[in-house]
Amino acid sequence: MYEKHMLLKEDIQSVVVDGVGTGFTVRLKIPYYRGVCLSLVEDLQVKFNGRVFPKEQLTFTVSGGTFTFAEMATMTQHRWEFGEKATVFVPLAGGIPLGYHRVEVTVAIRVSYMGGARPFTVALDGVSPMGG
Amino acid sequence: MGIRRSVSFYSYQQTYYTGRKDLRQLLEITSKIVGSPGVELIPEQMPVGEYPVPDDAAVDQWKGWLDEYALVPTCMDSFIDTMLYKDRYLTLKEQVGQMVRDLTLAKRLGFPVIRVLCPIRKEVVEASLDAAAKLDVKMGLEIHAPMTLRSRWTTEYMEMVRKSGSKHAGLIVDFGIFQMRPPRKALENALRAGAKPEILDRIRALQETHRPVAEMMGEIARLGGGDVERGVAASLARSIYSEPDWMRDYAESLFHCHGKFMEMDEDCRETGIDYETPFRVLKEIGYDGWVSSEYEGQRLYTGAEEPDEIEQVRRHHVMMRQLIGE
Repeated sequence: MYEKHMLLKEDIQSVVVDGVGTGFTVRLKIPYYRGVCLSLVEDLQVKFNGRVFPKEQLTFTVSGGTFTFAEMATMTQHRWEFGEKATVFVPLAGGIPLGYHRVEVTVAIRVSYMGGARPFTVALDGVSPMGG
Repeated sequence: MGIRRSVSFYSYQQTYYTGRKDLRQLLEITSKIVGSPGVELIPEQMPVGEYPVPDDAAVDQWKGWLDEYALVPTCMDSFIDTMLYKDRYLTLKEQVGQMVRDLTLAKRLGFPVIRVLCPIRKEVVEASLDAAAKLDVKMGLEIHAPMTLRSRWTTEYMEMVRKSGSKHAGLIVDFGIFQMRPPRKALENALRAGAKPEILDRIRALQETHRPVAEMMGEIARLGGGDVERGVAASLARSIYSEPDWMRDYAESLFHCHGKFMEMDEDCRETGIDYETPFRVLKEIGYDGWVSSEYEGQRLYTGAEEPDEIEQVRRHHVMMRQLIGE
């Protein structure tokens, strides 16, 4: 169900500050059947037309704050709940250009009973700055 | 009292995840459409207020809903994140801390039993016995495939329980251990992807006699099957069968059951898991507890079609009523 429901095209949009695009945000749901505390989000990666943005370049907004991945590694009280949209900020200068683009998001949640992180990737084509 | 019907809200995960229904609506549906008297919850999936410590108002609201819809809380599913931190495992003391956290929440929400995930070590349950007794909430280790009722993990755990003399540790049986054949939908998916029907028949026959996946793979090769047929066999690798009769060994320690199911057909029959034999055994051993419907067929819907989780659960309860003789 995650392929279809964790990320929707309309949940990807440019961030504009004083008329200048500073990047874009991706609002996504967890690809796992339960919510987890943020320390269990082991990895996250966004690709925009093949350009890789590793987790060190992203921020994550959920559970009442905006955090870096270095911060999240020790966060055991703040949670990303099942079905809740977290907002990932991707620093793409200028924001999303006109046209249609491919966005791929990989999330790896550390699942203790599976012995480690389980990366899950979802890819969307036809992402435009107009949304949808 | 005998066997009573409950619903694990795990069954409704897609409905909740996609925002079509919230927790209150699902309680209402469980009561009015499914007609279940019992409810089982994964609070980390559908939190009551905030997990793990909801405020009193959220707990009061939860209890109000249970009253309004005449639902009995039956079991709460616990997880222990032994890999909470990237670079080390939790110590025993820390794992017990998580167990006590969930026992405490179960008590507040009215659940008499928590599901202990099958890979949790017996030492963690043992060190939590006093807390469970004080709170009077039971811990049931889940027997879930590929684990069996006679795995060493199960027998060593039960040895610990018997030695302790505790009435607060026991077992939860997941009906996935009684799977006899691939779910109908998995076979339909394979046929659509070009599988040969005669090879699927052979896989099905081998599973019905509990033959190992390696043997299925050999047969698939011999019969000229390909990736699709091998995929069906591979999907059964963890479906290790337990004899329902083996439940007799643990009659006094069976706290709860997960009525795992993958697909209920139009006549309200489970297409892959045996229910008649386990229900007969449960009756014979005088099981006095709940069986929660636990629908897990969502994962068989890979295309545009969406599962109807509520209808699947409703059909499962039609079947359970018949088996119980209600």
